[in-house]
Amino acid sequence: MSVNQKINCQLLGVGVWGPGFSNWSEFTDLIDHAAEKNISELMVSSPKPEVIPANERRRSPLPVRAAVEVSWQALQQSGLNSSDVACVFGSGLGDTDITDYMCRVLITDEKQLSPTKFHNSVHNAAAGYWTISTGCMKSANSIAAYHDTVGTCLLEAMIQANQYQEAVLVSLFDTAVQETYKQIFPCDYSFAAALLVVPESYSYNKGKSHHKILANISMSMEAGKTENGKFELPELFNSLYQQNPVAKVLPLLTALAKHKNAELQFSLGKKSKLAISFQPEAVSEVKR
Amino acid sequence: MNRQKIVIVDYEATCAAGVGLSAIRLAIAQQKSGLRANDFPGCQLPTWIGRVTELDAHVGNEKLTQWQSRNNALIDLALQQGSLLASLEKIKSKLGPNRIGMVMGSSTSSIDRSEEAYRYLNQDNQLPPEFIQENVLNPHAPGLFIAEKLGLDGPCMTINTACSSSAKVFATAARWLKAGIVDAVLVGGADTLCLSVLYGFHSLQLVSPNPCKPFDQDRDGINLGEAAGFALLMRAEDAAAQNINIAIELSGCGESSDAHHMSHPHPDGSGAQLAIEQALTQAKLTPDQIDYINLHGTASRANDHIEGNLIGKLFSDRTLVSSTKGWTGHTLGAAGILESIFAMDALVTEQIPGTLYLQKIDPEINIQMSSKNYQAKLQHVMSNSFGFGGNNACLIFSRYQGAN
Repeated sequence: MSVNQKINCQLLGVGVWGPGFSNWSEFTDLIDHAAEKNISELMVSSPKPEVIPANERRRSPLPVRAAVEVSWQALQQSGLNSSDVACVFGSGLGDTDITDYMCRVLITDEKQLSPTKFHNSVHNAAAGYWTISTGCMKSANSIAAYHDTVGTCLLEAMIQANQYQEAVLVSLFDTAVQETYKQIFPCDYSFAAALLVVPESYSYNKGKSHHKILANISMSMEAGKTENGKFELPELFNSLYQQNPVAKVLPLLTALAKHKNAELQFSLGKKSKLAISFQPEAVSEVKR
Repeated sequence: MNRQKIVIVDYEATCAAGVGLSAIRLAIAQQKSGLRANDFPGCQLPTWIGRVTELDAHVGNEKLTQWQSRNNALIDLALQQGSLLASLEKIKSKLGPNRIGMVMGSSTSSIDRSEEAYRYLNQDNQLPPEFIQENVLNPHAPGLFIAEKLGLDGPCMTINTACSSSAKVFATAARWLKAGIVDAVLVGGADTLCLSVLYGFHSLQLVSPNPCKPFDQDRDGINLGEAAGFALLMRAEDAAAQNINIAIELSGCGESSDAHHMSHPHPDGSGAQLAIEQALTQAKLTPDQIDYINLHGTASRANDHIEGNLIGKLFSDRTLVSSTKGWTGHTLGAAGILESIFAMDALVTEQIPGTLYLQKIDPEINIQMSSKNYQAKLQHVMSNSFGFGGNNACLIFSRYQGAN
């Protein structure tokens, strides 16, 4: 039986979009003023990722636009080229609007589905649009693990980063659920976040002068269920955190925004969890 | 990187060609296709399908309780075949349930159940209570169902990269085992026929009105099918320590993206080529060492033209190639593992399936193959899987020859 070793990564980029914020600086502002805000009164902007060509962007569904927008933010911040970055997309719910559309069409006599909506219905639509828009030919994953999506995506990305010595983008997205599906998944708020990680001894490609390390992340797998309430999260985000599967990443983002070390847990399965030591770093830079 | 060998301890599959591996072996030997004229309930499309007819008796079975869906019923049926569950139980009793990971691949998950639910929508757009199934109507349904059914407590996820889904499960499992976070991984894939995929592929004008003819000059589209398959993976040294008889090694995995189009493959096959080259590099093999390739071979005009010419460019005629879609139809998110099992089982049976329904190979495809089965002792085999979004995976399985 093998020893369960710690796996370490460095965070080079972060992207966010959700109620009241459409990028990282708006997110940190909101965290600073969280006590004065109510989530239902926050404006939700429409994500417009410029990396997707305009004609394609118009046809792309909200979950795709949200995921690609946060991914682009994280990539820009990292200073890496998209062609060097593998990606792990994750969504607990997928695109429930398209599922609803397809099920409604399929109870009509004609059953005539839109071919564009059909190819957009795949869970890896966001990964597809991302790799097509940025010319990335590296591996692209698309993971669903319902409320364990954040944990399994972080696990996958950090293992992949270390074994293949490559940069990995984690892109998490789940959007608000409408009408019929709301009966099953009462998710009122859309949210997306991206984290770009590299292994500790990552060899940076030439051509970039520096890459700022935002945080060090160390993980290990542990047995048992996650323990509740062992993290800091503004009350503002309580319902978002509870309802939206990928909002489970909010405690990590909060720690980064507040420059505070955190010991975090993410569920991976019925009785297993990812234990993460998260250490934001304010000033360190990698120079070559 | 950790150089530990990853081995396949057991595997099983169920598809239109047979319920369980022994039935599938017989169908291959007899060249008996599982395809039939479309008789899927509620679907009037003129096409052929790879339906698991034995499944009908299991759909709606009470023992599925709150997990009702056609996809879960197929998983339940497939898990009961062969020695798979006995092998899993033996390993579980030694390792404990939280040292076993679970990685499923699927594209439809249980959307068949959503389709059924919407037939019972009331005037307020609300569903009847029996369809309020949060663990069935989300895309992780296959993983959640199996973890619950088999009492697996370790990390559990479902890969949803369309038609490469259950090929990528092998790559993830190998990484988990090499990282030491688990000591065994049950990988699988399951997709069932449903109106979404039948009418969806019809909307893209990709569905054939005839039995599909991969690589044939007269091929005119795909047939959809359903399947579930499973494999149990461990590190070689751990399997040997448990006195498990090891026949097959997972020697290489490649994963890449086309960066080209959501539903059309890259015209040069350059994304697929990257995945193939990565798998060869990981396995430390040259193209000439690959004895057999189970091709993606969907029988669509574009896929077969691009994949066939790519294989013709990279591999010599000494590598046998075929598509088994004529037995099973295109089983989408289950195709990766089903066809990996066709490939790895050829190492064991020394029976290599031909390309069923192939009459005359497309003269614009530079590749040699026939509809006939071959008999040969193989050392290394490959399986290709390509999905929407330009998502590619390539796997190499080898006859196991010890730990070094």
